[in-house]
Amino acid sequence: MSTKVLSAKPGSWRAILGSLATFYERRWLIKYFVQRQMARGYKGSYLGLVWAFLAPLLMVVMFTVIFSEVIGIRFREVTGDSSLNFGLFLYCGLVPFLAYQQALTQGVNVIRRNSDLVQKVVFPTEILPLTTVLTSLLQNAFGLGALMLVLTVLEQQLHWTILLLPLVVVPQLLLTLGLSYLMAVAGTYVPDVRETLRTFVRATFWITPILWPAGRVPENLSFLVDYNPLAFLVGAYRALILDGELPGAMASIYFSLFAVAVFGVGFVVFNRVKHNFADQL
Amino acid sequence: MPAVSVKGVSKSFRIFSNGRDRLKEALSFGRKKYGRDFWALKDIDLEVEPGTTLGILGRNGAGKSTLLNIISGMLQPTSGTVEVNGRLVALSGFGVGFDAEFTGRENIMLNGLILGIERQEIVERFDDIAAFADIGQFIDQPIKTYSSGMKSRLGFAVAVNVEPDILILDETLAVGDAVYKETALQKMYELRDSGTTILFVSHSMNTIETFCTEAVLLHEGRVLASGETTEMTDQYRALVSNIKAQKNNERSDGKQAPTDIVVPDEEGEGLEAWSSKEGGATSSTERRAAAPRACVAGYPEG
Repeated sequence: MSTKVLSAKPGSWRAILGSLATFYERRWLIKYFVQRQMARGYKGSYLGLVWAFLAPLLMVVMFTVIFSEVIGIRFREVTGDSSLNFGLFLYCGLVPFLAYQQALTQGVNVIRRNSDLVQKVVFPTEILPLTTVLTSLLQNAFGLGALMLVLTVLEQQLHWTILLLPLVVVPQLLLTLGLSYLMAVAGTYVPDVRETLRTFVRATFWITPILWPAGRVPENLSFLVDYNPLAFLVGAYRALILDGELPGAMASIYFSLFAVAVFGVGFVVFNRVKHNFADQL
Repeated sequence: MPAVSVKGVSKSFRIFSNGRDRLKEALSFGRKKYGRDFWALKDIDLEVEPGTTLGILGRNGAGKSTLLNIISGMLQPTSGTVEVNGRLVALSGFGVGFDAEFTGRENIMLNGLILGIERQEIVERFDDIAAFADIGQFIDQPIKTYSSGMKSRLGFAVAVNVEPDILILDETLAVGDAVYKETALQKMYELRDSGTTILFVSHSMNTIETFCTEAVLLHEGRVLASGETTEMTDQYRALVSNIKAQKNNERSDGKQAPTDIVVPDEEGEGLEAWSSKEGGATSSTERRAAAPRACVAGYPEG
């Protein structure tokens, strides 16, 4: 028999720690939610979840063909096959960016979209942003799988540094999760944030070296690369997957610390105000 | 140890005449006030012993749903405390979290997990739930192919088949045809007789009289009276006819009588309608505020 005392003072530090525990207690719910979000897009198609892998595969193949064969832009020479240039470079940077974009644009709406869960049942709302972020990272993983398949076919080898990717993905998860929590709060209280966010995300696409190589940034704009966590993320993905190199040690530590801090702030803010969501909707 | 213990609970909603005021107040961080408070509940004390079947009576907008939402933890009280001992399942909406694209089978699992039931337990009780919902072959069809009655049956089936210690039912018997109602009522009696504490809201006096062991009468956010069921239903009927008479008087006078009873409209005044639709809410509260302050016989003034 469990005793639950609901008082007028939620959001205490103990309650916040307790909601970290709910991630474990409600792990099945999280799993089903992620599964459902993954499956929804492909429900009713004949290939079903296979599309989660096929769709990014088609995209990376298309990128490779268009940018390397047709347009022929080259930033880096690849031993063996010179067709492997800009398409893969672009796609490899796009994968973490798309995960970030999806996590944020979904996160900002997550409370409103699930208003039934917020208003009509007792529900740990803190798992909602987590499920959207996990879904986006899972799609990220499928995208990486497709990229690696193409790399294996074209280069006949993969760099061992790919095994270190989890060291980047964990802080990536914390960073996007922290941002999602902040966005979820902002989007619930101020609906206009949702529109603003789309523009903001689009802007970050252009100021992050995804389309353009980080090495070519002019001196006076170098802060766009140096102080941009997304630039680090994109760079780290490319270094580990395409070049077989390690991202800078200090930069990695700064990025991880920043990610932990963003998660901490986002999680605490979210837990402080989540009890008011039902009144807000 | 009481199953549910409510101590001095009040709940106020902030009312803003428009969204800009809401934002201005939020940005001033409590230094300026642009809205005003609407007290949906005032100083509610309630002890429910285990095994009690408590009927909750009151007109639309009396605060019934708000009280139940606070007890179940969906809303936070503005002041006061609520203590709940045991597993509580609240049914204020059926099949919350149902996903139309997925099958009944998948949704039973999803809905159960949303209600906070262990996965293992749902697996074990799956057959009971499916049998109770009585939707036959449809269990493996997407929910979007269901009729609305089938959907609510499925939702009801999940909630009552997981043996809650405390069950909160809000107008829930209103779904389904006569045959199903019979089954549902049967199940509720079963739960009651097995010692489940039930908090029950219905506008049907008959159901409350036959089903509940105790009742509490809410009026304008306060407990007007509580005790034996038939006594409460009698009081409620008296209250309603009182208000009706008052309303008729006003009509025949053709002008606002100098009455001391607030006569809310039949629709729109309900807190349910009120909290979900912001636009309509403001005007209805303004009407409420403009009406003379209330005092009905036996109703404690505050």
